[in-house]
Amino acid sequence: MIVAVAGGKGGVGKSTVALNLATALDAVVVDADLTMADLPTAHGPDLHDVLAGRADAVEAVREGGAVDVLPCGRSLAGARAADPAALDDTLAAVERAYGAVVVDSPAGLSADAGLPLFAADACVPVTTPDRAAMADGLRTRELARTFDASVVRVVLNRNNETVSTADVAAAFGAPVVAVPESDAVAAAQDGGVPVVASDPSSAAAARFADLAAAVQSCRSV
Amino acid sequence: MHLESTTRRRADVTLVELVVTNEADEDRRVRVENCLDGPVWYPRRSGRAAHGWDESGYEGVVPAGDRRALGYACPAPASDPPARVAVSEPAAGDDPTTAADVLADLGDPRPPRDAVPVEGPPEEEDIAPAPREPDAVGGAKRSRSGARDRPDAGDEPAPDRPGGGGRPGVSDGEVPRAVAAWLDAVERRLADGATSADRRALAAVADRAEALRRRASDR
Repeated sequence: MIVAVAGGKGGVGKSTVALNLATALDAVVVDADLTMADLPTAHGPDLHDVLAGRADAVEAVREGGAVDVLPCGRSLAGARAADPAALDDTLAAVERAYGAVVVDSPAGLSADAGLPLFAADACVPVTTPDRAAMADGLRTRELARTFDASVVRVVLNRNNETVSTADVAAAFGAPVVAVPESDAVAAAQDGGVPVVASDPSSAAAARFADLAAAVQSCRSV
Repeated sequence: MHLESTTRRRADVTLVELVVTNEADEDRRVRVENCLDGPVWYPRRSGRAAHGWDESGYEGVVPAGDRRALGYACPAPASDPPARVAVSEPAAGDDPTTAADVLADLGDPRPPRDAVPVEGPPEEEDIAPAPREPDAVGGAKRSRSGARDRPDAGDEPAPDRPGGGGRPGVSDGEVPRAVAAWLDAVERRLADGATSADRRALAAVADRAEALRRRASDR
């Protein structure tokens, strides 16, 4: 199964959600943000190399940590040389080898945001309580519709009780998982570690576990 | 082609929910038509009929083994069945959307050619600064100074950098990538016996490196 974590606005927490969802699902998380890579990386082939045909998808997956990661490159030249359309085959190859893939999609509505939705079976839009994020999240939801990527859950990140989750669910047409603003998440993300691994008893970790359970229940359908 | 339907009545409007399942081994084109005694109020996007919808129903391709969820409204009362599969035929010959189509439709996200530096290795600080490196990620943990990482492997091979000055992107105590790659290549060739060219190059590099090392220690 391929799940795209998406959301039109930058900074809403897609990478945090993607990292934690992949950890909870025992999936590989792929950083598909070709020009603003966000997930932790280390020496070795990365998604730029894979999309430029210099490396196999599977050899670029880093194992051994809390979660398996296929990181993205961080240079303009690498982004330029990559063929974004190769992402579809890349994700399929990782899925064949590992079973489940979570794609950290970039912000916006251009092809780099559309291609993960095109390739994915399901989508998790991420928003924060502010109007700009919600508006962009709804646009992403529309884009997901055009690619038949069903919305499993909407993540209302950094929830501060200023909006009703029922209203968000009605707007997006899907149930909401609200993840609270928390020091545990901020500290974990600063360390590049998923909070479900670093602080599994935290409220945020429990919400990510709920999200993973919802995704799993769709997987068997 | 299998069709399941549900209807609900809300404020004098019948809401019809359908699931069309293609149980065949091939992609099939299907036409689903409304059987209720009233017009189809189809879903709209920006005021226009959503893709595949018209006044009598929906037409589209359902991939092999897959299904489509459809919904529409109608002012007429509900009846059973509310809709039917009018046409179901193999969809061979229809070109499905490819990733290349998506790229063409939504716009190439790559940075323009002019934005890519032509001299020297690509610098990672061209884009966002690299995040901190966690133990959570597999692979060797590199020693770093500050938040900068080394230039990407696999990009254009690093040409010689003229002039002095600090070389951004190289962490303390690490051999520059181009030098390390050359040394690795020489080491591999040594397995077959050293060439005279390698011997001369190694001697020249060793002499120069030693001279520079002594100068650096004197400061």
